[in-house]
Amino acid sequence: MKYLLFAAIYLACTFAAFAQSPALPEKHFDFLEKYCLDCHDAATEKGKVNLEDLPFQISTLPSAELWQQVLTSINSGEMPPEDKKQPEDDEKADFLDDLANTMVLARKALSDSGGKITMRRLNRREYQNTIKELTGTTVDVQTLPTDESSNSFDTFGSSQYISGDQFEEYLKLGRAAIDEMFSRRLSGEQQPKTYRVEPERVFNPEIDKFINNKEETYAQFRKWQKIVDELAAAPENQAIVKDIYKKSTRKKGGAPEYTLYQNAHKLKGAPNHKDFGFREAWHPATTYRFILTQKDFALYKHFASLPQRDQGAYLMVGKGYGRVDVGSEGLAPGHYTLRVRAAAVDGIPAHRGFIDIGHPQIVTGWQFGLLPGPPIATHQVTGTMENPQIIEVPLEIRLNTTKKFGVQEKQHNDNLKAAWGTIGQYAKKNGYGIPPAIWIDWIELEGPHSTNHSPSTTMGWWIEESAGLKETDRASKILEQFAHQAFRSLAPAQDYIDGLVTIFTKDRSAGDAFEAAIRKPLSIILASPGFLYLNEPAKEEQRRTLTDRELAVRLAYFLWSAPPDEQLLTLADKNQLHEPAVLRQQVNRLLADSRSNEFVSGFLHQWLDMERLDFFQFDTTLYREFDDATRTASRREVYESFAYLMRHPSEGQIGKLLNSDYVIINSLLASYYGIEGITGDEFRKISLPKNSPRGGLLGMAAIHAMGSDGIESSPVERGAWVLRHLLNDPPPPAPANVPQLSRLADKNLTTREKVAAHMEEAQCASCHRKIDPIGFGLENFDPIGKWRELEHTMAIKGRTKVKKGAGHKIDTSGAFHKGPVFADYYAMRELIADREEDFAEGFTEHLVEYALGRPVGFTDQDLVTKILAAARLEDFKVSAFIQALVNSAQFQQK
Amino acid sequence: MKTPFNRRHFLRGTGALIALPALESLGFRRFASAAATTPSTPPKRAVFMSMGFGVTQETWYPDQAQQGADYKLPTGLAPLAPHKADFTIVQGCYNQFNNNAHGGSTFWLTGANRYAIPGQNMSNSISVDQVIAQHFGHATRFSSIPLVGDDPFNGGHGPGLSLAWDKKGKPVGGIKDPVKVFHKLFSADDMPLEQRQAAIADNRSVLDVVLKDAKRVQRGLSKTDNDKLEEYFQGIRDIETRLSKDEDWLDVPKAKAPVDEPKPGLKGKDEIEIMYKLIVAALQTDTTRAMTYRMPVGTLLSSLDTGMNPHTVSHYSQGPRMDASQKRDKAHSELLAGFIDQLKATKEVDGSSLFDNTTAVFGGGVRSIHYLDNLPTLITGGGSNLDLGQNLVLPKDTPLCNVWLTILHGMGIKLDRHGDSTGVVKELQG
Repeated sequence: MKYLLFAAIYLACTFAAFAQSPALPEKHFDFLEKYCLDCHDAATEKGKVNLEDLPFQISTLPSAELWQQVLTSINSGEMPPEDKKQPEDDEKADFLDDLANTMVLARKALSDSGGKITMRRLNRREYQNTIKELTGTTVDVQTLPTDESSNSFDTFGSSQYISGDQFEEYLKLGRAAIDEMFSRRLSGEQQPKTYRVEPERVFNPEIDKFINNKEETYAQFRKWQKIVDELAAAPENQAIVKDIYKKSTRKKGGAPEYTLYQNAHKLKGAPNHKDFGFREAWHPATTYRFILTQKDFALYKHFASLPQRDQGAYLMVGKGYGRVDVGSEGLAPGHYTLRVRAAAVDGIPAHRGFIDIGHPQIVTGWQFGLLPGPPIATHQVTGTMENPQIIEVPLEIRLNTTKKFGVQEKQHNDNLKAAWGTIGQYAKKNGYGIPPAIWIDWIELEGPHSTNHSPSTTMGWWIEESAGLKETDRASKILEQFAHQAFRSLAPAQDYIDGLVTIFTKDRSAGDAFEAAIRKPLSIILASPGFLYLNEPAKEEQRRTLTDRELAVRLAYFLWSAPPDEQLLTLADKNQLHEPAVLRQQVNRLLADSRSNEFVSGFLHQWLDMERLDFFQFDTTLYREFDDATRTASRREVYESFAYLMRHPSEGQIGKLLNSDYVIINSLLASYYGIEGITGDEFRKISLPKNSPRGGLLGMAAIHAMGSDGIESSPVERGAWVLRHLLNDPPPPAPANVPQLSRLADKNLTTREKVAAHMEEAQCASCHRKIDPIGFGLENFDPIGKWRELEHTMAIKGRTKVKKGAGHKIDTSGAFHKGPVFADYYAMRELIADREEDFAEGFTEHLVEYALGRPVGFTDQDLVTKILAAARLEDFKVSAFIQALVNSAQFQQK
Repeated sequence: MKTPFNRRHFLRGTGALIALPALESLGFRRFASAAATTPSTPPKRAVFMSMGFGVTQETWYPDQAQQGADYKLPTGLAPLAPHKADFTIVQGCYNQFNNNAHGGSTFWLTGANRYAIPGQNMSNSISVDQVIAQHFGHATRFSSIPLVGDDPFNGGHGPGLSLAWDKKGKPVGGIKDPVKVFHKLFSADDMPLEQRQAAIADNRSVLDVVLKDAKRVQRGLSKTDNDKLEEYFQGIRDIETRLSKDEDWLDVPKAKAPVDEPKPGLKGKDEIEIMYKLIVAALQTDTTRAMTYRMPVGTLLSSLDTGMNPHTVSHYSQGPRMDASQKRDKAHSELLAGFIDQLKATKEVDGSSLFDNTTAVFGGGVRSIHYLDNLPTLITGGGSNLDLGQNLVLPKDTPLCNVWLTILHGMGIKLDRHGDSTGVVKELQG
């Protein structure tokens, strides 16, 4: 009894004293004692490492460093030394598993900021959106850092930096925005114009010229060939012909005559090539090779033979004329409409019935695609050759970007060369190459449209010239009002405005017009701290409630990544925003507004580690369908599925991301997933048949493409992703120095056999026993997220990659580590969907981090619990999490 | 019976293991560079190049048994054969605090512990190139130039804007585009002198104005937020320093470009090749004396037609991945051999070559796969008087910062420590 009481008190003390710092489970004392302390006790202290007094509670940096060494040296196999007693595999794996996870928690605890929110500046996304709200222009922010980094959000003030270079970049971008704003104000007064391009007038003459030239050359060659063939048969040339063939360096398999024609000038009585229009002696031989291979000639001939070519043009893919351009550098900035009258050729595969719209690739060359990257827009072509349709695309033309636009068939834009492999495959069957899929009658560009509501045309802070208003006073007022808006309703200091006016005056007196001289001080405002930083004055260790204005700013940047609008600021002005009912109604309004798409994409991209989606070039031959437009659509599917839940008044359950009987897709993804009968470019809810592998994140192409390397699927990436994001059980970071197993390399094994090797070493097994079974459960999805039953090894064949052998049947059965077994993917998905609570907890933690701009610490456990409790009452509806968070003290405090 | 040891004690006697990195407290002595006062002696320069995910260990490292000058060059280094007497491979070094197998460049030149500061999950300290810039930078138009490869892939470099970190451990931005590098180095300013003076004055007045707003914002901020805003102030101060420098150099025309303006859009292998040319040009014209280059990894692999991304290749094993890894190593060695050729072919005022006065380090903070020990380190050039031409195998787990300290000493910068260094490498000194 006494003993028990003592134990209870002891435990209570331990808990109280160390509630903040994670501890390695006590059961591992034995491990240390058995395998480490012989050498590393206080008495021996081998290598100056003494583990005897090392606390299991990791609460200081020095103890964390020493535990890190323990972890590292066991992982690397360095410890225990080979000649010493070795732990059993299971024992070692358990120890490493717990230690690695405890270290993650310890690092988190040691870097816990105690709820302190570090002031942050606008991150790259917010900067762009804020400039857009202020000036109506979209600036190109490529030159700014993304502010994203692993394990943090771009809203973390503590992870953001600024440098002198970056400040200068802000000055430059601000100036570009101001210039464009003035330029748009002028172009808003212009009458819109329409520019039309008839592609057949561009393409047909070129195609015909190509064919005529070739035909002429071929005819000349035939004449030349007849003479040479006769000469070669003549007795006086026999010795020479024999000699030509003897010296031939020709590779096996080619036409033997090629060698003869190359050396025809050696024959007695040889004709002069110039008489036949050939500039060089070897040109007839090259022509002969062209005739044999036929490729381009046959391709052009085929396209020239197609019906309706006199009214429009068929787009070629990979070679030839594939893109129709419109626009010119003289166009004024503003909003435009691009119209395309197009048809899809009968009988084409569904995935080819789409067009990409983008800026044309300017650096031309065979290694590039037609567009310099992902298209601006992609549209399905539902028109037929009998009944073409007109597709309308809204476009924006900016002051400093290219004003040309191109239309092409949807395709890979990063590697045109790789498409040649596909051409060869087609040519083997049809003799010419890739058949046409899209026909374009015309394209036209109309604009600039007048926009009455754009900030650039309203410029509410602008003051017109008027009698009695001194010019410097006018400038001062303009700058004061613009700064007030740029600083999100805070008044600038008078000496600051005076300084800006001085700069204005200097340029003005140097001869600049008022409208020109005012631009520099306006752009300086956009590089000033009042604009760049979301500053909230405070005392170091004291929390205070935000003012309504600060609350409006925080709320708007949380849900819009943009500044508060008039309604929010008015409510703040009246000091009503913080009232729970008002706040609740405002959150709903902000979520319903399309600006909240910025929250959806900004948050999901980082929460789900979606930058991986852009890491890989997917091989064009193997994965023709996973082109830039599909990649973009697959990303949007993730965003749209979340946005659907976030905005839905009743069906907003977060668990629908784990499993659902519907998908949110457009026609492009419908054709990709093999769902028939869906047309149109908008994303909408489509019900799924029973037993569809789609529905929920695990059925989405983007998630599986992220879990591949562009060539093969990676069960490890996928399994770790599921643990991290769906099950809220993140594996510790990949350890350094673990010996790699290479004995299995290059054997024709299934991925499962290859990865099974992880289980042979305890260092690997400690994490992989959790990761791998889940990854295998997803193996029915190929690297681009298409369903498959067989797995193939890839081999490189010439220019292209091919699937090798008959393939292995995929087995997705398995069991969670120390958890339930599953027979296949479907069963595993059910089990994962059962873990909605875990998923919701992980989601909450990330949401808190994103919204507050700091890591979730141990001090936040209450907040997380409260949000979860509130959301549970509403069936884990997405908006309920957001409401509960906004309603929390933490969100409303500095 | 349970455990015999006492958990209530905190660790004892382990201080030696946790050598905290030397920070700004050291009080660097500024001293005039010999070059600035006596231009007839060529100055000392240094350049550091990091390749992210490391090398193919089986074919890049010389056999550790063959130490000294008489070693067999492995296939990965074969293209460097003509220069074998002029570079040293240093084996056995590591950055003791780096545990990130996907981030080899963050602490490569700093040797810092990212977790050194409680309440923060990332900290760093000054990189060796910036130490050199502190000492020699006043003599040149640019105190340092960090270059960054244009690479959309995660190449295993880790956090940072370049390889350079300033004295407060904040990342220093680098220049990406070779065309931009060229213009920064050589584009003539054809504006008349007075106009350039006026432009500098204009820039100063811009800084004065934003500082007025900064002071307003600063009022009432907590200490942490003040520190954050301090970064903004620091940025402004850096520009001011640069403007003063611009003023100092106002009447000195930029050096005439010894190379042509690069074509736009060069990627991968082509990018590295042109960057090497630009590095030579920058050093040759004494435009700067401290350079770094965070080299592209993904675009290099693409330009070699390997069709694989950096991380995949880094986990190589026999087969296509290892082939790709070796192809990359070979390309690097070829490029590096070309770079050494150029350094040797460039003559200095006193008849010596640029090679004789430059230290170039090629390496990185990841060995291969996920290994963070025995980091790949190749040193060439006579700029810090090192013993070149050997396969130098140091005791396992020698701080890489010892090598950096040795280079600093060789260049005349006699600091006591850099990062986690424990001393100079005597065997490396010539």
